[in-house]
Amino acid sequence: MRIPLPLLLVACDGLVACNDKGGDSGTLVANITLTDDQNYNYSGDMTVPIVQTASGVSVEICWSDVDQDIQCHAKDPVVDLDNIGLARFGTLTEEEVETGLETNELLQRDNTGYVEYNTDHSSTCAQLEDFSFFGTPIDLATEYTEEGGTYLLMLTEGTEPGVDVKMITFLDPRDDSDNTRVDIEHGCGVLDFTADLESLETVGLSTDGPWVIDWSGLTRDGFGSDLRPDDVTSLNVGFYEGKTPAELATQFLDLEIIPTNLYSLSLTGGNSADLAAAVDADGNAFSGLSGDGTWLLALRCGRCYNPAPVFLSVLVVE
Amino acid sequence: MSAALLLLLACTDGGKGDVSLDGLTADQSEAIATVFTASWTSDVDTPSWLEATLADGRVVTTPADAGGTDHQAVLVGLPASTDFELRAVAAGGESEPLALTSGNLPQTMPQLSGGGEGNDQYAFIPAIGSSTAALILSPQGEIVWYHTESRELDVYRVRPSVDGTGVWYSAASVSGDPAADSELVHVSWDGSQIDTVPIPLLAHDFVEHPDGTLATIVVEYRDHGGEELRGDKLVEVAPDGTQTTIWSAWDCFDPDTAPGDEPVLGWTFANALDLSPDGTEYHLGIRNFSSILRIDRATGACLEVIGGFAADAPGDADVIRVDDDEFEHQHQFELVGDRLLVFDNEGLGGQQSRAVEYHLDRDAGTAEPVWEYAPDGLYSFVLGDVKRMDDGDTLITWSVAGEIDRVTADGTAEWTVNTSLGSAFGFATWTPSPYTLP
Repeated sequence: MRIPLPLLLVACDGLVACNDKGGDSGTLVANITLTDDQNYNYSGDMTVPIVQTASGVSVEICWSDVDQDIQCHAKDPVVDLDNIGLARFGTLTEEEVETGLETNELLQRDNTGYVEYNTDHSSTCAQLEDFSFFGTPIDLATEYTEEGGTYLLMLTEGTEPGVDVKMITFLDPRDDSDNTRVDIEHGCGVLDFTADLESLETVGLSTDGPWVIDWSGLTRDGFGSDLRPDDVTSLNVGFYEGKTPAELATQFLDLEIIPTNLYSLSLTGGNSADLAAAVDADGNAFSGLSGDGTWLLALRCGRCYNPAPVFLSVLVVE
Repeated sequence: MSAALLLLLACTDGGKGDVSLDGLTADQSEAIATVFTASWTSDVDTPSWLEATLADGRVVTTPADAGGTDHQAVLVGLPASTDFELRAVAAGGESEPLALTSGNLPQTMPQLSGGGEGNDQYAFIPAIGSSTAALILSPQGEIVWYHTESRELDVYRVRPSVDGTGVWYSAASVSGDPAADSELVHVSWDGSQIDTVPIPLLAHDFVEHPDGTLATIVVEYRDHGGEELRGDKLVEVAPDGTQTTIWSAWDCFDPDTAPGDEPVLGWTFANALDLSPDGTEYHLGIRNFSSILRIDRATGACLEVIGGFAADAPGDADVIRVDDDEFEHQHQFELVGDRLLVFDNEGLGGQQSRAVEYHLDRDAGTAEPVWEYAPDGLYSFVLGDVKRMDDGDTLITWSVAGEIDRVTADGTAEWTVNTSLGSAFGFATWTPSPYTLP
């Protein structure tokens, strides 16, 4: 039986967009050392809906209402959703799973099972009895029960389990429930984050470069959780014409879709990178700060469950 | 050539001691950022080796070479992103050190936590799940060697090759139908040389004999009552590439009298393979029989069946029953003399696996449980591995749960490594150094 059980909620989303140009700059000589004081703060919750169902029997799962993802971005439930996965956490409560998703601290040992259903892009409902994993079907009588643990339903773009999740919902099988239908809500509201981009120390960039940043000294992400510098998989630099940091904080979940210019760089390892290697959608390299507005630098962990950047700061000319 | 590689090229002259070791240069492997190939000379014909001293005081060494005055070695065992001093060493001398830094791991590598002190063994182990790769973990639980398998195949077993040139791993699929393009893959230490042995329908496990002969479990389909039935066979691959079937499940078992207990997976579903210490027997785990079978390598005869299926064992095979505290749907095991250590996936029922040890009484034909380790909530519905160390500790790989424990005889986990959600392990092969055979 194949065992891919990843739950990477947003692999290439958020402020940082993925590109195909890798960055390998682990031994570059950095002239800009990032610090925790330069990192933003955000707070809030991930509130995952809970739907009680009957236990040990098949349940019809429908997703026609999922027209917005967890970042409140529009989605077509028929076209955009490719896979419905159900992960079981044998010993964790729903609250503990939520906390683990928020802090990126869930371990594989917490997960005790996974089945999935590949959508056909025409219907928006499926029976749980049709879920399987590499040919092994779910045994509803023994594996979908009130005592079985916590069940997390994940709707994803793409078919890699748990990667690029657009909506999540807990299923709660109960012996005293006769509900056999689940209508999954849209995702807007699952993430309730408040970001602070004004209290941080800005990051100074010279006019002409070089702009080689080093994040090896960072110890916490914006949520306050431990940050492992090796987890940073991509960065981007965004310019928001006419916007202030306070205004951008209110559009925290839209930062990747509203910039005037966005330069991105995928990383292949290391704790440093040259911002001049980041490119926009047309392949133009980042060439320094200019214009009237706000520049943001984001570092992202593509394998973390929480889609918020692990580091986000304001860039200013020094 | 990358900027990183340019920075890591350096050389030294001079040294200290009676033997002069000069001209030490080291190149970081382009394929594996934690591996370095070094060259140096000595002024006398002498065995020499490399020593890398890490900032935390650890020393990683290569084996002594065969001698001569021109030396070259591949250094394996360094953690990523780590500063170290490299020296060439011989009896009576050492070179001036090179200050170097190992490279970064690819972002595709699994995220590991835990580890640290409490273990003295390197693990040759697959990563499966969100990343698929052959890995070597240091005794501290760090990835020190890696090779990514990028095809739609999984990796179940990784072993050091007996010729000392690198690593063997299996690239296969045991999910649903086996893969026609499965193969055994040999990767040189520096990742620059990859050789393959195509073996269609490869199953979970393989071993290598001291002469380089490989032996592996292969799925075998035969007609049974007009229907195709999935069994298993053992195939040896000689050093010249010749492949020979040396045993088949049909030689020992009859599907009518021994149907197995989970036909959705096929008939036998053999899943783990070991060699006896003297190399004359294969020890084969058969999941759907919840049994372990001793097979004579020379004749293919079934010598002994241990486990839940034993009561129905066929032919002349001896039978060892496990009447009390049976193991069920087991994976890797260790059978030495009258002791059997088993990774028992489902013998306890529910979502709970365990490591369990039995004492075998061959006169009585019985097996009695004498030790187990079953922490609450650790469940690996497939795979899983156990290894008993000389000091009485047991290394347990809870594969699907993404955890490795080193456990004392009294059941204390003194060393643990975990994967983050989404990554799991295959079988583990443990050695005291990357260059040492298990």
